Amino acid sequence: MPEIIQDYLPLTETTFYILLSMAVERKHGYAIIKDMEALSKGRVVPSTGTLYGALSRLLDQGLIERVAEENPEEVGRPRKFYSLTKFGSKLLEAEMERLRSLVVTAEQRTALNME
Amino acid sequence: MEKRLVGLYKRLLVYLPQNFKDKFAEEMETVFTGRIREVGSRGRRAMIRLFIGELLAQPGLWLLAYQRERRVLKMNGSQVSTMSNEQASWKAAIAAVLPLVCFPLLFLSYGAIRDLLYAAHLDSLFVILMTDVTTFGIYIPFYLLLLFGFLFAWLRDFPRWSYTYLGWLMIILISGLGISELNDPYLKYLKLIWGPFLVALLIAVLLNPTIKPLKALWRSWLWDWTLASFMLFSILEFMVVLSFDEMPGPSVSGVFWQGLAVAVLVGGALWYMRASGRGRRILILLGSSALSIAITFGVNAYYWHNYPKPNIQFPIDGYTMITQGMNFMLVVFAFLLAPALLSATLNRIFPKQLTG
Repeated sequence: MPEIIQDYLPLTETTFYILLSMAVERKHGYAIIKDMEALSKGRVVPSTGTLYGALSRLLDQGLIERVAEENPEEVGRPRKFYSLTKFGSKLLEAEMERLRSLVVTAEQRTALNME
Repeated sequence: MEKRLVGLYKRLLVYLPQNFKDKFAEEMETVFTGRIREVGSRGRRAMIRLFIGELLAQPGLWLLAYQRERRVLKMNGSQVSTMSNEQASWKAAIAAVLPLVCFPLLFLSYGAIRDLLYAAHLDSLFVILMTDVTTFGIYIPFYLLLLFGFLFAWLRDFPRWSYTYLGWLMIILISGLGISELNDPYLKYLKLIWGPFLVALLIAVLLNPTIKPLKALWRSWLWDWTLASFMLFSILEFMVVLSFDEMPGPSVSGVFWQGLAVAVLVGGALWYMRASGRGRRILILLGSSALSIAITFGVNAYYWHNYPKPNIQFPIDGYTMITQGMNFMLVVFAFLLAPALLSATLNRIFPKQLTG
């Protein structure tokens, strides 16, 4: 599994924020966009088309899953929610670890220069 | 404004591949509606900006969605079959006749404007209108329609409706080769015609990088010879429309008969699309083309017979021109007949091979 995870790294910023938005709880499309906007402080706001293109790819890769949930208060077809799969969670953790190590390396280098 | 933009967005979603559309289109519409409502409080500009953002994201989404569709079809081992004897949907039938309707409308509208300006003695406006650019430019939307038709036909393995587009593209692209000996002032523009087609072809190959559409085209062509006849329908229409061109305006009767001859072809094409079974479709094609040619031939012969010969101001003698035109039309008619007759004959000799 670890070598497979390495194949997916590094993640694009959009993919990272999509996965991150589902890290705590499952979300529907609109909530994902809003969350991405909040997490990136307004920097990454995908169009609906970009989001669903990415979601379809992540579904195919088995990084997220799609669940239909009936809401008794809502009329019409059940709402679709997206959540991370175990593999998706591991990939997100691996990406965070990668980013962390980048920052640590950069901080060590700049600290040395300051000394 | 909000409703209009949501309506436009819904139309954009129509062009996504079937599997992707089935899975995500409804959700995408809901999300877009939510977003447009949200930015609505910030005014029209914000709504338009959001819509433009979606518009710009479409090519990338199409590329991804069509690539995904290909993977899904490959995994399922299924392919879209164009070899069907069933009647086409109304949507497909209308798509098929669209070029057959658009060309004569553009052709007639230009002639009508010209005749009206003549009648109103607005010669200065007429001169502006008659520049090469405006004359040629009037057909640009028609060419774009054909290119879009070609693009979608490629993505959907050239279904039955696409054959009228292919026929028209054949006419235009052959003209673009510049092999015509006519002293046509628009030939310099015709040379540019291959450029947009090659761009459309490149996009089609990028969206669906496989030779499967060409294979499907070849297979369905072999299986259903009526399709080749149907493609030639566009050439027949072109000839029918042009055959009335030399009746000088304002020639209301000419326009009427021209419209009728075209309407017969359009009606035939609609009926062809809606008919099930090749036998019936062959008969429809032959019947409508025979009727249309009869109208064209009859009206032209009548018109030119009564035309006072000394007043003819064309470089070619009117009678000669019409005879040549009619001969050419008969050749086209023979070409139209040949594949259909071949199909009928092959059907009798090798029924299993063709239908199996």
